[in-house]
Amino acid sequence: MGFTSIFEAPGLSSAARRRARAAGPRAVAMRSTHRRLLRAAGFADVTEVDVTAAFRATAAAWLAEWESHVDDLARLEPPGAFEQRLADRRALLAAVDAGLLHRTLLTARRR
Amino acid sequence: MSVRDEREARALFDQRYGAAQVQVQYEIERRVIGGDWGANGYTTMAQADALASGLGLAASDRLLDLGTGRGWPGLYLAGRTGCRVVLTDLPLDGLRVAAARAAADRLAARAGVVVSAASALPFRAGSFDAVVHTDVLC
Repeated sequence: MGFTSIFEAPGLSSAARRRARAAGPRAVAMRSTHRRLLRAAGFADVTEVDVTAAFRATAAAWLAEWESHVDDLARLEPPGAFEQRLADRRALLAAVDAGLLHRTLLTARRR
Repeated sequence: MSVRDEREARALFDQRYGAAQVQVQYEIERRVIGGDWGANGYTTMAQADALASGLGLAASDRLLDLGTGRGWPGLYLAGRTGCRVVLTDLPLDGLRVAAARAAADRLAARAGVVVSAASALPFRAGSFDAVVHTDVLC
């Protein structure tokens, strides 16, 4: 199995965790680590690569491109929807910059 | 993720995939992630390549792509490695785009689409050699 995941940084305060969950994607909260979850599900040989820097760069690139093409893109969505996506991406980027959100790329094999 | 969250996510992606992509969106996607699959997540071509390498994907493999949207990265991985791929997601419109792309890229013989939730897959155990999902858990 191979996948990517965005998750809240470990060791956050309650307030920081709330901010991470508000700024991140819907399923960003975790009660365990990816490695533990994969092992519990019968996977081994877990390889994990931190891709947070690339995540930050990609999020910033989407935002910059969208801001450069607001007029073209906003008309493709219902009123206010694109503006909300822009606001969500700005909040996400700020959370990444604050160290609240990480992204990882994992591969693992079935035992 | 709650049932309500799932419903909202599904409604959002139904709406998003129901709208045809326009040229400027493909141009932006190429600049941001390096491809033109109608994606808007964070998985770059380099990361898709890393998944292929990490999984050791080969032409003899059967790959399942969960939450594929419009076919990214499953179709790309099928094209790159020669593997067979089944693309699954809930929004039908995204899968229609993926099927059309598979045909356009001459991958239709090795690519199938199935409307399915990842939590209730209609496949027997052992049907696949590898599973990928990107920008799905979140």
